[in-house]
Amino acid sequence: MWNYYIRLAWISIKKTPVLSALMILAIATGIAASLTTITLYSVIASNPMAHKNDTLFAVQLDSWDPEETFWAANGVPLMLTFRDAKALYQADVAEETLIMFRAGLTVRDINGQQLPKVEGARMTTNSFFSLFDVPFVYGSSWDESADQNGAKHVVIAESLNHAIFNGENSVGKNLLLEGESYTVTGVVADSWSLTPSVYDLNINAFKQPETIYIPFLNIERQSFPSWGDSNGWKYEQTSSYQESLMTEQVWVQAWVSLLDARQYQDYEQFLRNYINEQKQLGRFQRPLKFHLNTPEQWLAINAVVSQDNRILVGLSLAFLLVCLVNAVVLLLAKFLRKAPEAGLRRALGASRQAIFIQHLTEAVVIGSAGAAFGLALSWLGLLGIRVLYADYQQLAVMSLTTLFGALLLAIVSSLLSGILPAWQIARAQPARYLKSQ
Amino acid sequence: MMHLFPLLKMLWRSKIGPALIILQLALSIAIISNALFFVNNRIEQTSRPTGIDQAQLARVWVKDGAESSELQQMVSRDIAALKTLTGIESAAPMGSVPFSHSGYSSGFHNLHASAGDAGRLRTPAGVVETDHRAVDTLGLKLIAGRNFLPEEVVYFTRENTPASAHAIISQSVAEQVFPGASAVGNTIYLAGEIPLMVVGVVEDFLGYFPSLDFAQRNVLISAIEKKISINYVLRTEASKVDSLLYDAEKMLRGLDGERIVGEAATISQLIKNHYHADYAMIILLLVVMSLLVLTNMLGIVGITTFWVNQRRRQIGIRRALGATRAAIIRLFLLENTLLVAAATLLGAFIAFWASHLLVQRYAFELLPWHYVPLAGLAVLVIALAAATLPARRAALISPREAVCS
Repeated sequence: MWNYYIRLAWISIKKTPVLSALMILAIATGIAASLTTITLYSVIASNPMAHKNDTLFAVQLDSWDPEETFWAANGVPLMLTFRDAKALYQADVAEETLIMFRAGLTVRDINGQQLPKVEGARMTTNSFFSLFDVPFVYGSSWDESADQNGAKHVVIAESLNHAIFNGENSVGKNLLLEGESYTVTGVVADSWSLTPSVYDLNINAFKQPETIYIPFLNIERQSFPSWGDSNGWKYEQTSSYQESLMTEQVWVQAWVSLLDARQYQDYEQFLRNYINEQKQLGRFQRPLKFHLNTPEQWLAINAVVSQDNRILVGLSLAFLLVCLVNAVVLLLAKFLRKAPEAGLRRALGASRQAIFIQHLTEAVVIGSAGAAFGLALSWLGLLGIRVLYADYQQLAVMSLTTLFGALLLAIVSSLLSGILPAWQIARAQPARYLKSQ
Repeated sequence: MMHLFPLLKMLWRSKIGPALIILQLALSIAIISNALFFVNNRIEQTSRPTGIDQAQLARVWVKDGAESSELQQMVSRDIAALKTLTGIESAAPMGSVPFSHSGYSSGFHNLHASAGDAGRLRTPAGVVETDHRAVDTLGLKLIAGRNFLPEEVVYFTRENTPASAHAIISQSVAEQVFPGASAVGNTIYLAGEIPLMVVGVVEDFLGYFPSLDFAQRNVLISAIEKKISINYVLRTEASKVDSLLYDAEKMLRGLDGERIVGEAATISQLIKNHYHADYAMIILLLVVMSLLVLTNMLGIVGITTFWVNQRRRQIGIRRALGATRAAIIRLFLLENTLLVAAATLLGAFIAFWASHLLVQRYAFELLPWHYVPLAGLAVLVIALAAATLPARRAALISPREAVCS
C-alpha cells in the first residue's frame, strides 16, 4: 500500500517538477533558518552543571550602598567583597567553599629564555577543581594548607605545559609568574571547558578556561592585575595595599557546595548570623538579603541568553511558519490541479480516506526532501554563524539532538502542511470531475 | 477598476487559497516591518558619533617586566622615542582608551560628601587618567576653558593619592553637575571626595565602554596612578595609522626587551570589535529578510501559475470578447495588489501584536507605525514582480481555448 502511494507521489512530483522544486526549496529554507538559530540557542541556553543543580550554589550578599540598590541582575551584587569572601572561606561551614577571581599574569619559563607573555589566570581555592569536575593529566590540585597561606603553587593547562615544558610531566618543576617562581602541582586537560562558563559569567559567558590557576590568597601578599569585573559604591581612602583589599569594592566570586536540605538550612542560618554580625560593625546597612543560586539560576541572573538570541529564534520560527503556509498554498494548487484524477479514482471505488492518505504521503515525500535539503543548508547557516560571531566557535555545531530535531521538525511540518490540501481534495465530488472529462 | 467585481467574486469562490496567501503575506509583512525596525536601530546605534578622530588613532599597551620602574620616567622616555617615528603627530599616555573595554567610572558631584545632600548634583562618568597631550591626540574639541598645562600633571601611588588635581570634563557632565553656570573654575568632586579643579570643557565623546548609558560622559584627570601598565594613544594621518602602529610596537619592544608590549590595535579596529555583535545581528536579519522575500516570490509564482492554468478557459473567453493582452496581465497584477492590500491590514495587526509582546516582556521600543506600510510596499513590489512572469504567460493564451475542450 505505502509503496504504491510513494510511487504515485513520485509520478506526481515528476509531472510538475517546477512546482515541486519550489515547494522543496520553500520548506528547506524554513527548516534551515529555524534549525540554525535553534541549534545556537540550545547550546547558549544549556546548563553544563545541571548534574550539580541540587548541591552547588553561587553566593550573593547584599553589601551594597544603603542609598541605592545594586543596578544589575536581581538587585544584589554578583560578587563579594574580599573580606566577606575570606570570612566565608575561613568559617568553613559549607561542605566546600570556593572563592576566586580572574587575573591576567605575565608568565615565563624559570630560566627566562622564552619571551614573557600575558595569560588569563584563575586565582582560586582548590575546591574549584572538584566542584567543576576539572580533569588532570598530571599531578593534582594543591592541598588545603597551600590555600590557607597562599603558597606559590600553580596548576597549568596542557597547552601552557606544552609551551613551557614541551608537554612533559612538569609536576614539581617551576615557572615564573609576575617575575616570581611558582611550583607546578598539576596539569589540567585541554579538553575541559564549560559552555557557557558557569563558574565565571562576568563580561563574557563563553570564555575559554584560563591556562593558569594559583591559590587565591596569594592576593594578600601583593596585587595581581585583574581581568575581571570590579564594582564599588563608596570612596575609601586607603594608605596601604592591605587596607585597599578590605574596602567595600566587590570583585570576588564565591560558590559553596551543600549536599542536603539540612546543610542548606544551616548555611542560610550561618549567612544570616554573619550579616547581622557585620551590621553591628556598621556594614551591610541595607535590609538583610542574600541569595544561594543554583547553576541554572545563576545562568538566568547573568542573562547568558541575550535578547538577540531570543529575537533570532522568534524570527526564524515566524519565518518557518511563513514557509509552511507557503507550502500549504503550493500543495493546494498542485493537488487541485490533479482533482480530476482523484475524482476518477473515487469513481473507481477508492475511499476518501485512501485519497487523503495518498496525498498526505505525497506531502510527506516533499517534506522529507525539503528537510534533507534544509539540513544541508543549516550546516551552511552554522558555518555563517561561526564566521559572524567569533565567540560562538564551539557553539555553532550540529549535534545528534539537532539532527533528530530536524527530522522531527520536517515530519511535523510536512504533515501539517499536507493535511489541509489532502483533506480538500479528498472532499472533492467525483461526479463533477467525471462530467468535465 | 471595472475588473474589480468579477475579481473579488473569483477570489471569494476559491476561499482557501487566497486566504492562505493573505496569511502568508501578512506574516511576512509583520516580520519584515519588525526586522527593518531592529536593523534601523542597530545602524543608528553603531553609527553614533564617537567624538574622537577615530580614523587617525591607534593604541599600544605596555606592561613592565619584572621590577616596576618609575612609570613617569618610562612614559617620558617612551613618548620621546615615539615622537621620532615618521608620520606621528602626537602621542599620549592614557589610563583608559575609548572603546577598549578596560577602564573605570565614578560618580562626580558638585559638592563634597560632607556638605550634606541639599543642592547636590551628581552624574556617573568615565575616568581618563592622562596628561596634557590627550586633548590634541584624541582630537577633542575644547568649548570652554583650556587644556592641561604640563606642570599640572602628577603621577601618584595608591597609598599617596593626591589631595586635589585638575580636570577637563565633557559637555554633558558640565550640564549635569553645573547647570546654567560656567563649569570652568569650579570644583568637581570625584566620588564626592576628591576635589578636582575644572580647567576646561570638551564636547562629548564615547568612553572605554560605549554600552554604558553614560558612555558619552567622561572626565579627563591630570593625575596618573603608577601602575605597572599603561596605554599609549598615537595620532597620525588616517592612511599611515597601520604602519605607525607597527613601527611603534617595534620601537617600544626595542626600548626594553623584558616588558610586554601588546593589545596593539587601531581605534577603528576597537570600534569594529565593540559593535561586532550588532553588525552580525544586522547581517542575520538581512539574510532572514532576503530568504523571506525569496520564499514569498516562489509562493506567488506558484499560486499565480496555478490560477492561470485553472482559468485558461475564462481567459480565453475574455480574450475572445475583446480583452487585450495587457488587460489580462493587469487582471493578474490587480489580483495580487488586492491580496497584498488585505495582507497589509492583517500584517499590521500581527506586527503590532508581536511588537507589543516584545515591549511587555523585554522592554523594547514599540514599532513606529510607518514601518508597516513600508514593509507592505516592499512586499507589493515583490509580489508584482513575481506575478509578472505567470501573468505574461496567461496573456499568451489564445482566444481559441474558449471554444476548444
